[in-house]
Amino acid sequence: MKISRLLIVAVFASSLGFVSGCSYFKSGKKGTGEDGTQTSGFDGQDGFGEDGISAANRLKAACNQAYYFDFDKFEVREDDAESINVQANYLVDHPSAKVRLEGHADERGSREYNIALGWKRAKAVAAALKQQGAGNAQIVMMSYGKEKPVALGHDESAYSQNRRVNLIYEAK
Amino acid sequence: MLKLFQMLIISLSFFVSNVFAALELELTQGVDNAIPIVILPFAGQEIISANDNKITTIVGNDLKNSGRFRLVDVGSQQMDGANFEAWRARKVEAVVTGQIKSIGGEQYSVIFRLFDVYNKNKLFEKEYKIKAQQLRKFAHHVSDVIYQQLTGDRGIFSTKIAYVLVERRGRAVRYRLQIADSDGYNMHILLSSRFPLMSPAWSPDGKKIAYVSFEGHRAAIYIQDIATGQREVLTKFPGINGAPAWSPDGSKIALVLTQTGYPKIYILDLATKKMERLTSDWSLDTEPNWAPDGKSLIFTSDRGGSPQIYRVYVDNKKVERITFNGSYNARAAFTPNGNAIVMLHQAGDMFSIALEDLKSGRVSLLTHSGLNESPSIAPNGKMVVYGTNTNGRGMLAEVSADGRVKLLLPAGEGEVREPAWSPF
Repeated sequence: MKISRLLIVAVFASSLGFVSGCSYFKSGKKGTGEDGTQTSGFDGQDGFGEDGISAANRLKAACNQAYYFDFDKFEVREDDAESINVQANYLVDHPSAKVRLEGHADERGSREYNIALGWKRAKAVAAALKQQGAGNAQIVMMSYGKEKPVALGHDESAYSQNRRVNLIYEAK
Repeated sequence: MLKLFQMLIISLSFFVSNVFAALELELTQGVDNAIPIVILPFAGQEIISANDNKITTIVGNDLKNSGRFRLVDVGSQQMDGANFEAWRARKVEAVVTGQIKSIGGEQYSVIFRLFDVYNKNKLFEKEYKIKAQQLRKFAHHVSDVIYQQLTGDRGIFSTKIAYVLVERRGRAVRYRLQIADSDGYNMHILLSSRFPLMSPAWSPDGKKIAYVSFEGHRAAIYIQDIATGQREVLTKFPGINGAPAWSPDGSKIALVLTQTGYPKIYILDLATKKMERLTSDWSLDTEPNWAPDGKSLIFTSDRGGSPQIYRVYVDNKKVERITFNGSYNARAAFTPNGNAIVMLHQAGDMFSIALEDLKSGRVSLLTHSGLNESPSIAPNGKMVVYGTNTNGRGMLAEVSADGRVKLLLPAGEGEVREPAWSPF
């Protein structure tokens, strides 16, 4: 690994002072957050975490969330409506709070087209938040397409975990 | 901008190691047409190199992996390149000979000759002065000369391939943008990041690469100078900044932005920074690629209900549909002569690399297995490099534009994806 020692890793994102509101977050620990970007090689713990997102969304704000989507579908599932409302209400009550919506897709198909599909999903969640009163400026939409899978398998069980939108608090 | 440059990564190290070795040459049909050729050991070549790094070994691998040559082994016999009758008896069509001499000052004189057995003549002879560290580059030049002399097509042995390497260690992921010679040697790292990198695109002069990086969880398109490692942000708008594609004259970049709320195709003039949107409405439009004449672009759109390839004309923004076969066609690029497009095509559960002839509309599948993606055409139009998933691991593969020759290029470590073939 001589190569990696020669490298300087890009450090971006001024640390946003992420303070977790969810009890199961390993808050402040190096590498668990995606926000406090760290420079490190493979010895570090940083990487493709999901910011402590668990399978079930907590009905508590301000809490990072993951919303899943059916194959080739871009509508928010009905059973996610309540947890989206909880986050939306928090955003309404905390005008300086800000969330990032990351759209994701499963691994089938071309990479840039999957970026577009992830974008469509992020937009659907953004629309649901805004419908409950969240402001435009509180929502950052982006898409990772199929570049950041949470499940690395090549079957529907992996695909269904990867078709998702992650809601991540960038400011609370 | 200073802060940006401090964050840049460039490795100036030179590695003579192979990042993706062509281990498996699967000639599905091409054998009958392959030209039988003998490459005799260059006299004195041990003074400059050993083992796998011999000029004749490198040239032999180049020619063999092109699928258009068959190496004939004559063992250790001393034979005269110009002894045409003897070669003819062995059904050899071409013979390569050469000699190397030290001429002092760490320089070497290399003479290389190419003989046509059936016409009994010397097709090529030239003397070069090279340094030891130029050996691989010189060998690829020799391969290019032989390929062009015997097939009439320009060789691609001196070209490079840019690609994304992904390494996972536990939960840590490292993304690297790298370039290497088209045979996998001479690797350079352009960028290393813990954020995803994608969509590398060569400038037509081969000096720069545009790519998408997600540093700080924001998509941005960067242009990086390969020689200096310096880079600049081209676009960093809210939302998608994706799929950069250089115009054939290098003056513009087509890209995808979501300024209207929907992914749309834009053209950015690099000199004036003037931007123009080419497509409109509520569809997903992405993956623009220029026609060789620069007057139109093809792109992927779901405007008809499924992803298909469309063409948009730069002057009047008129859009026409190009693909009608199948329910998923994406990521298309023109062949260098503009007569066909190579794209990703779904056939059943498979994502295959396909070629569509634009005149007849006929689609031929070039690959027939698994999850393939990201086809990129060699500048001579003869080979396509693409990403493939073999045993759950991403690696590169090549297929000839006629589908006859297939090569798998397994990577030493990590997953290799998104190959982009350099210009000549």
